[in-house]
Amino acid sequence: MRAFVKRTIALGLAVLLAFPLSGCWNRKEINNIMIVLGAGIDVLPDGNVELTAQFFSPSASGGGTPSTSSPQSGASSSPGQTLVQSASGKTLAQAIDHLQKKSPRLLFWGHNKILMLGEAAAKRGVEAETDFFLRYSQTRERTRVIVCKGTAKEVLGIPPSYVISSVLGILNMVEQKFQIDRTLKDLAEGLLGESKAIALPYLDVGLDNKGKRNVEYFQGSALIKNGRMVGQLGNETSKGLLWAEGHSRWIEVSIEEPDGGGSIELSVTNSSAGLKPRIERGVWKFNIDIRANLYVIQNSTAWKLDNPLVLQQLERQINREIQQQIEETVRQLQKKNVDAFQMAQEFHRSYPREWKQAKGRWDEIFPELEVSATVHSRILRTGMANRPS
Amino acid sequence: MDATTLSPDLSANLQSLQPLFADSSDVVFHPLTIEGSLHAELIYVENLSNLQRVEWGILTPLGTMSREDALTPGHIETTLPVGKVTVLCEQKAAVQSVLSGNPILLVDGLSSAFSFGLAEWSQRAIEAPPGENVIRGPHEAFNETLATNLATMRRRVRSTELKTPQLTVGLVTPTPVAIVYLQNLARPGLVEEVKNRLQSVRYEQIQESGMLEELLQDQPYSLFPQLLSTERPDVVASHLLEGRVAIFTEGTPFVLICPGNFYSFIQSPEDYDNMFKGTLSRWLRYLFMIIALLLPAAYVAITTYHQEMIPTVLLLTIAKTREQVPFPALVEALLMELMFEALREAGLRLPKQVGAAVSIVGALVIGQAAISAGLVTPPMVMVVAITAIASFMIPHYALSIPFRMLRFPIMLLSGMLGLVGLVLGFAVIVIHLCGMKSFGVPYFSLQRPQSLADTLVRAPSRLLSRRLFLSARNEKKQGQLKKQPAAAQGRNDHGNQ
Amino acid sequence: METSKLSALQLMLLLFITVFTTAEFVVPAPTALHAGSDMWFAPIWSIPAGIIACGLAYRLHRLYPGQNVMEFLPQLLGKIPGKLVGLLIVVSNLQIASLVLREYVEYIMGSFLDSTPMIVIAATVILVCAYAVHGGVEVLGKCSLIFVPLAVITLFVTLLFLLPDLEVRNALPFMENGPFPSITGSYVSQGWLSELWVATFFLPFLPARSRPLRAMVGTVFVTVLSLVLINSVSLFLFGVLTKELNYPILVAVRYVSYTNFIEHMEAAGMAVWVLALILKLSVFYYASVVSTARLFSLPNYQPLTLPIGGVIMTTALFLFPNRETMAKFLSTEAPVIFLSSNILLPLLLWVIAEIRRKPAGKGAPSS
Repeated sequence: MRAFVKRTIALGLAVLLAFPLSGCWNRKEINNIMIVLGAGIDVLPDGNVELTAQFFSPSASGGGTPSTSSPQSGASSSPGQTLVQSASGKTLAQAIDHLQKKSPRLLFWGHNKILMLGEAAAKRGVEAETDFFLRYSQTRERTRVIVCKGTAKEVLGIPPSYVISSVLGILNMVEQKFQIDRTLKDLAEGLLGESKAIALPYLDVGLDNKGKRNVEYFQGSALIKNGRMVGQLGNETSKGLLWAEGHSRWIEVSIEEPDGGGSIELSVTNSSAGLKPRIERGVWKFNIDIRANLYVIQNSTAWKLDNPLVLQQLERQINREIQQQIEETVRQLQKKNVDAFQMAQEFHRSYPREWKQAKGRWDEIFPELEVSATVHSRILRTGMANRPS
Repeated sequence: MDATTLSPDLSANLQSLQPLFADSSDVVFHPLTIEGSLHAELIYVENLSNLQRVEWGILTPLGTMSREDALTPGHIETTLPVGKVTVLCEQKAAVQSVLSGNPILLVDGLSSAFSFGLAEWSQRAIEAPPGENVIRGPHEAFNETLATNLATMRRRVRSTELKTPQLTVGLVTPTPVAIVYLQNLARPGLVEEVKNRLQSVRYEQIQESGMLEELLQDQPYSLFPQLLSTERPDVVASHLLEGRVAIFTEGTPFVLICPGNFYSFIQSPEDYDNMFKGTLSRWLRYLFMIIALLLPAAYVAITTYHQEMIPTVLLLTIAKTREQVPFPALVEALLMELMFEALREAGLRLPKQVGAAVSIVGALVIGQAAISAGLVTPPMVMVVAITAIASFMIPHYALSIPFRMLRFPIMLLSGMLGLVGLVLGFAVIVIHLCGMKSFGVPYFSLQRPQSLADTLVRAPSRLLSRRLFLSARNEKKQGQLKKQPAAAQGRNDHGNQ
Repeated sequence: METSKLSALQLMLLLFITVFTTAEFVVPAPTALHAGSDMWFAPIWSIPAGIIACGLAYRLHRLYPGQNVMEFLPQLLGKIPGKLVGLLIVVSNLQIASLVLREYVEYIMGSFLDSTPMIVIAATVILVCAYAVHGGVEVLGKCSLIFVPLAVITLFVTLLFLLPDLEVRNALPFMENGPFPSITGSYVSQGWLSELWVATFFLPFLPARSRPLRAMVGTVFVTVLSLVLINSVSLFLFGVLTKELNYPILVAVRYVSYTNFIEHMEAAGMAVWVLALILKLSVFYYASVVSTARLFSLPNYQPLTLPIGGVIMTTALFLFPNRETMAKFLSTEAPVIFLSSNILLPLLLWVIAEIRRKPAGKGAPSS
């Protein structure tokens, strides 16, 4: 027993002593990292990639020094506690390297929420950047991808008015699904998928009431084909995309009274979409089937909404309205020959044999697709008031 | 001291006995004469015997006894109005009897001594157990006198199967120790094993059952307690009914129960009033046990290696607070935990009224002051506080010790390797527990899947009443073994061995 | 006192985790490469491999009850050939153990501890496993009761949070090119399922009257089902992207984001996985130690624990120059090696055993 104890102690000591000799290798103390909240990619005139990163800056505002009267209010954070820094390089990886060398602390990508692509960079091509973000272990596949108007550097640099970081504000908007919501994984899938096309949300910056340019808002979507941005859809024309994905909470549906007068405004509670490809007698067709639930939020017409017949008529008009929204989107997409709905994939799934033969000709088939939308809407409620009664 | 037999000659006996008790002013040698001519000697220890009963029960009747009666064998022990009279033939036994408070009567002409069971001394009243309080349940605890404890036990288990053989342990301070078990339920071989182990104890003094515990354990170098120690008779009773054996020691209210099982340390008598309360308490306890062990390490690991796990807004807050603190998270954690352990220890030494206040206030104030001084961050203080509360949740003190101690190595490991280190440490502890056996019974595992009903949750009483016996692999076999009636039931239940 | 050291349930859990722990990482990507959208049911083709491995272990156990493979080898083949084949078995176990260790090192280094020296990562886990192996089969069995449910429940609850992101239509088209892509895709999982042969070292410890065949076949089905689940989740989440990812399941766990709070959980997921891996490594470590001890006719295997641990560790560190070589090895050559040592070899042994049994009559104990 004695020998056993001695040996165990010796072994334990050896193991124990070995560890501190070299220190802890992967340690990242929180105050030794720079937390990247958002990243932006632009392309410079000389072809280099410029990376802009928005960091969290812990000591940017109040609570920096402990006050003597009250306990340190380390918990409070105030708006705009961020720091924006850029660096450039021939490739993204090099740009990151240069950025790191400009930073006093280690870059930490674990909390990067948004990847913003400047319009020019998106037009040049996004494949290389996507590869980096997928390959590097610290970056996350759930990072949202957004194309912005102008340069990402400028957009990321806008100081927010009341959120801690503008990136968090944008993230909130994305999560609310004001526009389509794309993660890095979606982008990668889209780049690899059969249709080689995908739509990304498009961000623009506007003026606030004081004339300062610091209000970010989503303005439609950017169309990516074969890894490059080839076009854009406005807010109105992007609605079809939202319908197809079932993220319709913020779509405005408005039915106007034919002879001037007012309109009925409705809000969508939820909707579901079915995408059905069909090949009938050699003709390739695609049908988008929408089921939507809406409720009335404003009525400035003379129609009496307590009458079920009126509601039925209204529903028919809504169906038409939504149908038009979708068909408009598809028309635009077909014109630009960008299959943002991933219809190619649906054909592959449902008609594998035909797809195998037609694979190479998708660019010709897509613009000629007969796309139709069938909508079944239901008005659930008409609100608290009942005017006109 | 040689175990010589007593001689019929009184003076010879006295000659060998008196030197033993020379300079012991509390041992009284009281000579008396029976019927004027027969010499006898009463030896007792003052204040260890009930003097009044000695006078009424022994001296008075002897004063009127006749000489022939006294010398008739069997007369004295049956006619004296004393409840318990034992006839001893050996000097050693006589001496032990005196030292245990039972007066000895030596009569010239009789080669045996009479030991009267009149031991009585002032003992602590039966009060609530200081360490194992419950809200609903008996508030009786054991006290330091073996006989009283056995009596309390006997009141709880009024069965003839309750056996209480005694033996003495300790070379310099022979301490009476009683092994208590239920004969029809105790695992065969267990009682023998316990007896063997007790008898092989070669220690000079046994002041507390803690020493016994250490000497009886299977794995002396393990941090985890392998025998349950308790002050509560109801706990002892329920374990006896599960087939375990209890060891009562003179001089300490703590009774040892063997073999110990990990889950018995987590159960509390309060669980048994109400099944919902019981189940909920148990789950809470399991959760907080894990917290007590792993929370500081998890905090260190996550803030040092896995910052991506922290929700963003929380991370930003923590980053802000960490700006002013000079130490890395691991050092900060170790510092705070050590501080807290010190406070806890210090609190034990203080008198009751002051102690509680100082511990709580001390912790809060020191924590606050440390934050203001920029030494630690508020989240760390929270972590330490929660860990401390969690470690108080373990019902039996003995089990909270390994948890408190093991926190530190796991903290170190997770400070070096992150969550991987934490998991490795946890795995080592689990492996250790899985390999432990107490008296041949696996320590960590449940005896049967049905036992889940009493460990994982606290199932309704109807389901629990089919008691699962520790020893019963096959209940029928068990019944057969024990069918032999315990014919060895003599008059002396507390047969001295 | 218990006469058996292992219960059927513990054996099931141990076997399951032995196969599943690394299979969940290694299987999805090659399967996606070969089978495309059929990858979700491809593991079903590996049921035969599992059943054969289990069946052989069981059959040989029935022919030589109470003995693991090393013990009845001399009986079966004679002293010298027995030792030679025994050596083969020892090497096979050592190889699998070092492979598992190396996989562990690569995964941990790839995900978090990338600057930590390999030897530290390897040494720490080997020491923990050494402790478990030292404790013996009982310890392994009891630990499996705790670690396996923990690991499995954590994994599946995490994957449950992915439900909103799964697109089941990724499974279409179904059998676009017939059954062959999925069969080729199941190649890797077949190799992994054959690891169930290691049960031969544990069957002797079961209670004497138990019939473990049902439990073992149950294990095969449960394992295959779990692999189907893993593949399905990878496919439904990533679609065409699956084959581009090295470890789809890891990325899947990273992708979980539920109500903005349950997110970034991969560190916790990996931590729990480490528990499962400790078991798997201990299983093969134990098999290595026991078979080596038997090869050299040592009475007790325990003194060999640390030395064999050292052997496993050094082998693991020198096995491959980098992770890609390992990944390639795992998806191409490893299954062949596993299949031959875990199925072909036992098959041969069994055939020989059956042949020897018939003419001998009263020779070997009746089945």
